[in-house]
Amino acid sequence: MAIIKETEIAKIEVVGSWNVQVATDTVIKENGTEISRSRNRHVLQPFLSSKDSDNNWTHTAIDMTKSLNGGAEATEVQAVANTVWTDAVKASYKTWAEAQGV
Amino acid sequence: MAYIGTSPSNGVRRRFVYEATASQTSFSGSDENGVTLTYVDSLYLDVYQNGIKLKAGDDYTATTGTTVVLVQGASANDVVEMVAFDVFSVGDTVSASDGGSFAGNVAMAGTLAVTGETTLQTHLNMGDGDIIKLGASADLTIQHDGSHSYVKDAGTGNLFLDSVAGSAIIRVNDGYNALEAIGGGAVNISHNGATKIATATTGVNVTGGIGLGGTGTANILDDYEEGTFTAQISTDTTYVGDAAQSGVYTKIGDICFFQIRFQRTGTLNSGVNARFGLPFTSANNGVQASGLRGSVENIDTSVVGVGGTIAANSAILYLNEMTAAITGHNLNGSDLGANFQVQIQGFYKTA
Repeated sequence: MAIIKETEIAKIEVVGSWNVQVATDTVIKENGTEISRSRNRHVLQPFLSSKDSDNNWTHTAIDMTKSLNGGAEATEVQAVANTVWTDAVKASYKTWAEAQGV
Repeated sequence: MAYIGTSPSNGVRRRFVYEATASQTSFSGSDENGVTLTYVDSLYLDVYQNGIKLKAGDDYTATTGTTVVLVQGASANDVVEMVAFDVFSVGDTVSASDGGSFAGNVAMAGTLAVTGETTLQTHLNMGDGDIIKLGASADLTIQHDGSHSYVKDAGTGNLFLDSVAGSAIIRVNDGYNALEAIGGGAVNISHNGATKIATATTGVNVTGGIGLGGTGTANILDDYEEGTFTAQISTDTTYVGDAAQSGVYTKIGDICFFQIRFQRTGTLNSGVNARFGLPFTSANNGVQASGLRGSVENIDTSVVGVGGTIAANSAILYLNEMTAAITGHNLNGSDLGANFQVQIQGFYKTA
């Protein structure tokens, strides 16, 4: 009886120009037959934006080598993000983030 | 099988007449009418002399099939008559008792009654409106009326479509599976060839949405999902995990319900906003989800209460102070003490 655990990228969705939604499934198989599946999600945006006390904005690019789930983002996730996050999209994001005022 | 024939056209009964010469005993060959004497079985031969029937064996012998020999010679001008009942088989006729095969077509003006099984090597062709009737009272009928085809169970009991080893499938449009009951597996219901509902060991899977109270987009419930997300808090430059963190969500339609629990080890840098990643992007509808309620331990005592806000088109939750005006300033490192703990839950509309 072999029980194995696998992770697989179930969905990569681009929402609202710059949001890359990632759904990762953890699959438990017994002798090759799936007996359990659970889902974990996270959303990537091109920058972490913050404003200092002088109202100066800092936009730090997301580090793809440090996934929110530990380890690097999956190759296919990086590929989608790098395709979607064009310079124009990044500029739009910065503008949007600063407009939030936080 | 041999028959005693009855049809004159088959020459079943033949008559031979001879006029004897003096002391003639053997009669054969052509008779007075030019008919050659022949018989098949002497048991079916009658011999008469001047109208008196002779007795086989005592009065005559007939063994060759072509000759009759009198025991006692006839007188001149005696009339010797033989009547032969031919024993014959009608070669091109199917036996009523033993059965057989018709090489050609068979047409019947009446009904056909068959005892035993019927095997057709090619097709059973029936015209429009003709009905296949099964059961003592035509309980199950199959027919095509020229416009539509029908399988009708009008008898007692249920109508079973039973596939022992395979699947039971109802197909439409000359090949699309509309309803498919897979042996030992799922039952699939399709729309125009695409499966929309499928049973599974876990229940039922629906592809697409379920219309509730209407068929418009506004009535379609098209998503349900539950899972976890990594409720990490962000510093200025990256999201970080910490001593204890968990995030769970349930998404129904476009509404995401979530719970976050996070415990910081140490402090968050002063001026850094406390914010968490979320499982889904919020709707880009210009509406900020606010009023999310939570609690924080080890927080500045001046903070009245803790809530959260999610901007439109965002996947970030900001912790903020709850004030009389509902939403106060965003909480940052200077508001949160060392080893602070956050628990917050709420819901928001997703994109």
